[in-house]
Amino acid sequence: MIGRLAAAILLACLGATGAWAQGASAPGTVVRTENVAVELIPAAAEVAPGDTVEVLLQQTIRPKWHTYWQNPGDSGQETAIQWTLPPGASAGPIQWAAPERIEYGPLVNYGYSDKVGLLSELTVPADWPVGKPFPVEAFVTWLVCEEICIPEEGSFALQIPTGPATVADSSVAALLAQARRALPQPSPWTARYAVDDARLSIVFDVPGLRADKLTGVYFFPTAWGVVDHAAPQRLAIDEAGLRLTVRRGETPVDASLGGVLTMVEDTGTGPTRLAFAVAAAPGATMPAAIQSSLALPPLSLPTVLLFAFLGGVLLNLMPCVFPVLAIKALGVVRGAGTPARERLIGGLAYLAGVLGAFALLGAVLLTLQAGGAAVGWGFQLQQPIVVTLFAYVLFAVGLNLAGVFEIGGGWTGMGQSLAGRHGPVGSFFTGVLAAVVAAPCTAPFMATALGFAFTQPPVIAMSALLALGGGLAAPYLLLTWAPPVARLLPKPGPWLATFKQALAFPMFASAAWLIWVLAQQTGPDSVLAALLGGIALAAAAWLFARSGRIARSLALVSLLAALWLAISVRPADRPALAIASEGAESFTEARFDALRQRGEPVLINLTAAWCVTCKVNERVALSGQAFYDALRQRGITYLVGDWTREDPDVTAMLRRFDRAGVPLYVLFYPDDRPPMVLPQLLTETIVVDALNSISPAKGDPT
Amino acid sequence: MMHHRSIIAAAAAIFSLAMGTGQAGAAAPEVGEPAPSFAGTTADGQTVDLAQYRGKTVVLEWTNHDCPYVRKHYGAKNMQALQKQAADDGIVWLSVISSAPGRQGYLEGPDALKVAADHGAAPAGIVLDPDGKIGKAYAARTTPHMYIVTPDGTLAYKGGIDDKATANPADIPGATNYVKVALAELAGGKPVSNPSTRAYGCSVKYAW
Repeated sequence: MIGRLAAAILLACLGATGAWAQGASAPGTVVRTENVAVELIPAAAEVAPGDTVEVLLQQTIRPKWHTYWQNPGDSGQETAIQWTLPPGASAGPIQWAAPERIEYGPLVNYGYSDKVGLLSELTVPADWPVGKPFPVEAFVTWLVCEEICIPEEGSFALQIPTGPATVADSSVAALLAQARRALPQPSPWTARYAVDDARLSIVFDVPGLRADKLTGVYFFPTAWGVVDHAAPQRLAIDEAGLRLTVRRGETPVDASLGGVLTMVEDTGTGPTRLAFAVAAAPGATMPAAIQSSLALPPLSLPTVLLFAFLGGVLLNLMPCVFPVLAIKALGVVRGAGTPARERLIGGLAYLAGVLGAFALLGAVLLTLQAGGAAVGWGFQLQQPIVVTLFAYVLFAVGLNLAGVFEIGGGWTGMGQSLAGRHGPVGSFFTGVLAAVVAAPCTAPFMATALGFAFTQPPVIAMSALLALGGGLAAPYLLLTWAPPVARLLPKPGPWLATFKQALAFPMFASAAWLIWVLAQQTGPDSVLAALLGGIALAAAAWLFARSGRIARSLALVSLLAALWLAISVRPADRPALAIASEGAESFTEARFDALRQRGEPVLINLTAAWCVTCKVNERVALSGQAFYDALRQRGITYLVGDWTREDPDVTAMLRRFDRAGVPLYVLFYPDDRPPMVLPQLLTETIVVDALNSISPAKGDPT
Repeated sequence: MMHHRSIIAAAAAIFSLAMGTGQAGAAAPEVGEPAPSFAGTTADGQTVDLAQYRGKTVVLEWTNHDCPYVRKHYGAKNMQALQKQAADDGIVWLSVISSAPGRQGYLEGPDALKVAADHGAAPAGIVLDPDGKIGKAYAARTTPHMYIVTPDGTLAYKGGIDDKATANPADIPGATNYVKVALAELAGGKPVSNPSTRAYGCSVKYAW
């Protein structure tokens, strides 16, 4: 303790006097260069012979400079320690803190900034005389770089007192705890990998993650050169799990691929960085090559806009949009005699309709995003009700094409335009319709460009959406504007009616696809409701085509029934929890209130299947014997709330603690003390200490 | 759904063709493939073209005279000894400087010649590559970073100077010098036993 204080004073003095000539004095516990202050710190105030003692090599690095991980990446060199210990003693390898990716022009290094603690375990021989200080010498080399690189070294010497039992040094406990937290945790998931000449792909068996909650997903291989360190790592998150694919490096891959997987999760109160130690076995499949060639982030703005525009053009070929374009094109055929100016106005009105719809959608998206919701393109298909309504729109357009009904003159002009007439208002609403029917198709299609655009400032996101709309409107605009192109279309004739009816089938197919999407999100009951609603919609269309007031009224009733059925679709009630949490009850507000009214202590854990932080906490801190023992001894009821799908009770509780998302851990006391909110990242000690702040329940045998 | 997928795949193919140049960083050249061709200027103002050395073995050495890892091998005369041996064996040794103007290791021609003379270095030429084109074509990442090109223009070796990735000259005697071994193997008509190794050292100070 005194020695440490002296070292700290020495360090401060040296800092004040500037550069210090290394090796000028006998080795101590601190070496300070212009770029790094390095300190060797034992975790124990006293160590017992036969025990191991952790020793921390703490590097405080000059701002913007870096030291390096065990695999330093494209250049650089890892820190190394040569121990000199008494006979019979041994030293373990450095336990490396999770590294960060350091870009240097076209190169990428793996290392550390600001400060890092590197832990090693020393074993004191069992026959070491108790009371005789245990001498430790270390010769440490490290490379430190900013613009230039400087190899540095230092000699360290310290004596650890020995005693009958190992006693932790409380004055360094915080520093040690910090270093341990920076270590990668054992991976909770199995990992497999695949390699070919060009790529390495690693798959983590972790289903149900949400891509919109994770950033900075990166795999640091322990061995140098198994991947191209500077190449982007392409992330895919789907039902199978989490996959990273990256260009191969120059070193062959060992049978077991070791490394560290890092990610930053948005947990509602801020980003949480997670790091896992990985040992992957062979046996994964390689994704199709086409996917890796799309691994281009970050994209430049012109690229994003080009991408979006091309995507919009190609959208016209999608089964949900193509019929709308085809009908518009046939309108041009029929109206061959229309003056060019009028035709062009129609085209521009169509463009305005498309852009207007996309702008509105973009405004909604960006507003939600500004409100803190992690939305991106495709969010519109996350809500089962919206999926159902899209299916209805496509189905209704199909019924219209099939000739089941025609919308009369009074109604918005949508029907008119579908029938091929050319008022600018009609064209405008056809444009809106084209954007609406395109919306479900766009999600899988434009994921790359729009996914990136929505991580950028709103101006870029909106520009990308409008470029997409421009692309969608472009082919029709070209038809109306360039008569030579229009002349390429076939001559009108009786085939037109047949063709129009045939176009109904792609619309029906698109609607069927959306019902399939719905089936993924909900259960059989909701699918049945959606299908019955579709029948009600068809009935409404059929009745609408009859003449007479009664038929029209029944049509309206039928339509309302369809909408009511659409609103009734619900996400499936799945089993509340997939995690192992014996002794846990499902969180409901009713159960919670009942317990609290009786003044019973309650621990709540609000979690979700897609929340990595939650799963890690549950595995590390909320499933051990010490945790269950503490719960039992203190008579604490453990309530687990699952937010995998929106749950109003859980949302209300999150809001009560000003949280936008999971995880949330709160301990409610049996007395008047205010509830204790536990940290986002738990250890078993944190949890058990918190639980033990409640006195044991009466009558408990322990 | 299938229809969807095939259109997506086709569109993705079109995009990736259009985006071919968007990949970050070029892939490293492969051993056994033709070495990337280059033409440049040497420190003494000559033009140099890799093709002009067809028929001779060529060694490329990325260097930065202020880099501690380069100083390790020049300070111990290790690099100069290799250069001298190479010259005696009729091998063309080209030192390449890819440091950008204003960054560590950048030298104008006369200064580069002076540094080489001070070191007693004996390369056949010092190639000046301030825009980094040659370095990026070879994916040179560190100084030193070593390459060997066979008389028929094939890349035979890429990687480090030796297997002791440190800045300490004391490690040189006990290290396996990959370049020396590879040159001996090539001279004996044998395949290179370690054709691709870890290059270690300072990062190349490219313009970016």
